[in-house]
Amino acid sequence: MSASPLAGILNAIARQPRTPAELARDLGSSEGALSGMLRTLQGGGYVQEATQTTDGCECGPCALKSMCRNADQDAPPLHLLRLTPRGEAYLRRLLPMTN
Amino acid sequence: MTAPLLPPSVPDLGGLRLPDAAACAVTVARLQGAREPRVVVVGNPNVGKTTLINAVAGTRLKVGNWSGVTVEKREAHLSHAGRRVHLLDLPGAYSLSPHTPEELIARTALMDEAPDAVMNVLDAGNLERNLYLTLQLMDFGLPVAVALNLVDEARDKGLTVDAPALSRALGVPVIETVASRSVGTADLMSGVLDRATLGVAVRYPAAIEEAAQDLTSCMSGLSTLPPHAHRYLALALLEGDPSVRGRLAATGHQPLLEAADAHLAALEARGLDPLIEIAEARYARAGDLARVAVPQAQARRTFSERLDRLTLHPLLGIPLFLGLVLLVFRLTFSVASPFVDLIGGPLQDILSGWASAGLAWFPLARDLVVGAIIPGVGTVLSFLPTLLVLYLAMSFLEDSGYMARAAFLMDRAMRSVGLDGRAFIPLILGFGCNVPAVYATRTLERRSDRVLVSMILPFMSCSARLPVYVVFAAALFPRSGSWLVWGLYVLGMAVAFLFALVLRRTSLPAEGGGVLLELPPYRFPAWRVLWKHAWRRTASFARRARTTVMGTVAVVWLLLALPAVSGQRFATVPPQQSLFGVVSQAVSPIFAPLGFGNWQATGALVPGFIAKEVVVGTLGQIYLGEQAAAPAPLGLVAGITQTLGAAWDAVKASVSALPTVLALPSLSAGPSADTQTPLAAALARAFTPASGLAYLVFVLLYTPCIATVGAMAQEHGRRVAWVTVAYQLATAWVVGLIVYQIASRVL
Repeated sequence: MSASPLAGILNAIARQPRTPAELARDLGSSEGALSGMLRTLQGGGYVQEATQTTDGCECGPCALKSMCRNADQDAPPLHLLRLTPRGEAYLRRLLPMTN
Repeated sequence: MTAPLLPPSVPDLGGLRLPDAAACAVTVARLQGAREPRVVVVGNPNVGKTTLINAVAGTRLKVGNWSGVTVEKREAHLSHAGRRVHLLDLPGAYSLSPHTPEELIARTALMDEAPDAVMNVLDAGNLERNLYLTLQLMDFGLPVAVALNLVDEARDKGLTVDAPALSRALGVPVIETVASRSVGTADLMSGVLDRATLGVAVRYPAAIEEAAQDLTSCMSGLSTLPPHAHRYLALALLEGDPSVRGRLAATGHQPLLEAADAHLAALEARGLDPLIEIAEARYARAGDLARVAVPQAQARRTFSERLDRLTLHPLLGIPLFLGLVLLVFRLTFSVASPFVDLIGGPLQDILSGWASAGLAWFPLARDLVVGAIIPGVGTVLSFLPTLLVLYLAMSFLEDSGYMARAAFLMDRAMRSVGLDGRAFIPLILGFGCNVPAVYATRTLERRSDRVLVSMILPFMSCSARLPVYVVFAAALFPRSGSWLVWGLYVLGMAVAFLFALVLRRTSLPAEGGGVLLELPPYRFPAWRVLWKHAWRRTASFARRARTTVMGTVAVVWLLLALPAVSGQRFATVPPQQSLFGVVSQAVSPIFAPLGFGNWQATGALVPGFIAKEVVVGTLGQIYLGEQAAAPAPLGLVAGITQTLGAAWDAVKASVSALPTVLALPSLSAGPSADTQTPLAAALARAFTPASGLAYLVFVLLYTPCIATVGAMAQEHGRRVAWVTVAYQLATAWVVGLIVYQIASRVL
């Protein structure tokens, strides 16, 4: 396992789309542990869910809205995490040190 | 029985023995000397904690609520080996950095309920994650014993945990249990009462340790704070834990908060983020401990993981995705074509006959219905079977979990051209409808990303364009229709990616930003759910035909009925001399280099700006409108009988076409020339394969529909909207020209 697993996660998210299984493997960790780390990062405000922020108006002018899988579901179809400005700032601060 | 307080062979994993041996002895002595020691049970959710408590306490378990909340509180007073014990079960918590009410309750109880010992329940199959909480417990000055539960399930997963090694590394007793069968529960109670001790805590980076020790020393004289929680509280302050800060502020510990702020500022000035540093140290140690306990830690891959090795393969993933999409189109064509022919042919004729007879006394209404509504709207509606089969197939891919993988593959591909990793959400939505996709660009933080994605997403072929592809494929490429439609979708994506690349290199540079995508496990979808999804989508398309398409068709009929020159009468003017025909004729030379410079083809593109499926409705109206008065009306019974007979023939044709789905491209997947709908036959006469192909490419790439343009203007301003309209028109014309020039020499 990486000595800095959380920084590794932030770095991985910023650089290349991954699945949790891939990322856990890269970190030498397990998916269970990774989900805990993500929870920590989410709780700390470093990553957040990248849900559709369309304010519910996305279907207004669209007569095809029921074709859209996102329109008829409360939960987003894909669980997607991305960096927050805090996460990006942390990574920016970290990179000069690692380079 | 008294166990050694600090086991002799603790592996050097960078841990810290806290507090000193003398203080440790006092704490443990308190546990061993207590008349009825209070033991709190702590663990992650779903580790079998409740089952374990039930096994230990049995009927003595009392269930109530924690004060002020509806979270269940379980406790029991019981005897073990002649000693009374008060067992208090804390709510399941992943950590003591509270994100949920349960975690807050667990932490508050550890601080305020004056426990004498902690029974920490771990899931042996998910050790690394569970150990994070264990390591937080070590920061409390409380004796701990670990119940290593679910060892049977871990073994089933191929994991064997070395409990003695884990015990040595943690510095506390670790007892294997299988709570569901009461295995190890008696040993566990003995372990807690006789051998629980202070474990080996995490050693945090030096700067954090110094700050924590300083804050701990600040607390030493404060009787209002539980002494066993000083170190934990100091660390929580450095983590910026809002609930701890709130508690200290409310109890008048302002100087402590100020000291914590000073430490935080100093750490930040040194480039350290204490929250990350502390969590990093715990996770790194949890990982090390897990490897000590499960040296062979290689669980068997699940079915989904094994399949993902193929579907997400960097080289094979994309070809596999394209192959599956092709398979979907071939299935759609094979199964739906006979029904398209039925609705677009015999059924439309029968309806026209009935409408013609019923409206005989109202010639204008008859002309509108027979000459415009039935051929226009009817043509669009004839593609309902195509869409139903397509949506069924797509729903299957979605509900099986594959589409999430496809999105992931697309995401990777987009990152390679410098697109934000989140761009795939709007782009995938674009395949359904471009309008919500434009609004979905709000997912992206940077304006440059939002504008870029909005500008390329109309190249994603929305479902409204499908009927145009299908009717031309049936007319001009009956033996390779599915390949043609597939090719158009791929072309749309390729053009979008090309423009993304160009725009990134020129006016809208990349600024980074990635994603972590959680993929659902594969599963076999429920047919009922598939049908529900597909039906909803198809019904929505039908509703649109009833509203937008019918309205546009009526306007086109009006324009076709209005004479362009004086001396001609309304509704009797030849189409090419109508207002619609004359204007279309004036524009049509622009498209002559693309091979379809006739007024009918050009005219049909104009209402397509309202909605893309109107193109096929208008083509039906223009080419079939003149013939529509012809069918003789059938009697009701004869009409129904003929319809049922044709429907049965369609079912048989559809079933017999199924084996061709997996056939090679040269084999027929579409209708043969002799079974074409009247519109397909008319198009086959009006277009050559090369001009038809150019027409389809133009429909794929030309200006987005008016609702999409409106959404773009609303989101990004009119300038972006009109620039998109202009550059897409130009792109469509240029690519259409290239396709025609090449195709007219090849086909």
